[in-house]
Amino acid sequence: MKINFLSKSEEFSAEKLSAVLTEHEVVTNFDNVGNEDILIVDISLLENLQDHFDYFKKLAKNLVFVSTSNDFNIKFAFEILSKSSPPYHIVGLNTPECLEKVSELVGCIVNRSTLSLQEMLGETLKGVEVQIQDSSKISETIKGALGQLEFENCFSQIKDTLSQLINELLYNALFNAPTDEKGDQQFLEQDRKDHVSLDQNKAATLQIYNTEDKILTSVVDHYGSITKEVIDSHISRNEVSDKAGGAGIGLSLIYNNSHELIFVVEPGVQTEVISVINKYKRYKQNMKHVRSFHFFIKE
Amino acid sequence: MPSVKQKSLEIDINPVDGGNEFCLRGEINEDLIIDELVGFKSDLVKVNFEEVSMINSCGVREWIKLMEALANQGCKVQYFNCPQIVVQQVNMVTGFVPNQGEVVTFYAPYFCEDCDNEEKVLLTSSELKGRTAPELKCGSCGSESEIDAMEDVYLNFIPE
Ligand SMILES: [Zn+2]
Repeated sequence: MKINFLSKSEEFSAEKLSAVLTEHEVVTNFDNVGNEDILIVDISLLENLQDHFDYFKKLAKNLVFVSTSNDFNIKFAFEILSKSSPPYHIVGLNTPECLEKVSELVGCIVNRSTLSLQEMLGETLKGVEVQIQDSSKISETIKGALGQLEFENCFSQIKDTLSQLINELLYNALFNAPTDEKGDQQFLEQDRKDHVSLDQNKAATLQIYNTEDKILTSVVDHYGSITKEVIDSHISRNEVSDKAGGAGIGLSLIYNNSHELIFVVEPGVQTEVISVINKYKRYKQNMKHVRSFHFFIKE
Repeated sequence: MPSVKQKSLEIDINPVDGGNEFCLRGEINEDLIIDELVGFKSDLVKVNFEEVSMINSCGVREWIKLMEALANQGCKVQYFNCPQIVVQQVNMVTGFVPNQGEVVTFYAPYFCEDCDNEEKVLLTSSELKGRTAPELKCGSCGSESEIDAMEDVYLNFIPE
């Protein structure tokens, strides 16, 4: 694989990445963008790379944005990515794990895999799995699921974090995902004070896995209706919407509470959203951990 | 002392010097009905978040509507005892603290390297020097304990 890594940072360079990804050809070539298999771009350079925007947008292959600064301008990255073809990925924050994360991602792109829950966990682990079809049961479902788990070696706030994260994931699955025969969203503008109930075969599935070093949460809906545009316009949003329906900041809360956020969309069939939180005894470490976002379309 | 009982949240309303105190207990979510609270007209509302256990995105929206309604009545708002889940909203969501509002006290996680003790410490915004949290004595072993958060992010709501 030919990887073009546009970066001017010394600590996060093609040379460093090449040392990790020995099987691949990693270069930095600002003049020949578009002829690589994977293009990795340091977000901090974006403003100087205006000429390349069209390439980024058109690249149908694989685009990875990384940020080597703590001032991770995710809004800007999503604005650009909103016009590129999937799959795309964003990895950010200047931490040692950043390089590791990018190399893991390259492995994933090479193997054409989607960072699915099975791939991450293997088959050995047992987690909590619940089906939910009725939005009035969201709160008790979350309490029941989290009540079965003990998160050792993790900061004490973790249950509050997960509770909020899962709440938003389930609201999305029950209110935003459902579409009718015409493909229109059924409950998009429904007042959230009124509850919805899905058919049993359309119930969403919540899974939580608590491993030695990670907490993985997955919510699957059976509609596969979320689009890249919706994600791009909501993921870094910090203003509530005054339209009927959801408040518009749920996705941003989910992203902010996850280290890794993965969307695997099988259009018209299902969407799986996976949130990964690495376990740290200290909350500060949790805040400092590299964050990444991944979007896959499964044909 | 009047008390408003809603589906997910109970609010005790106590008269205090210059206005009212709203003591919240439970979850701030889509079930919050703000009309029941807007009626308690006063120049000042002190909100005590001590016993708020959860807040979701729809709750944030209802809360902002409440704050806007109070602001329209010329009411000033002060937040007290904000737990971590509320501090996150304060930092993240535009309008969660209204223009004429302020966070007076809030909880911050503290950690002692010597004995691994984790504590939630109540800090007063006006006593901080910019976005720097004080070092404190560990409540368990007496060693130095420091804030367990990235200060520039967690204390972002404090004016520089
Ligand atoms: Zn100690």
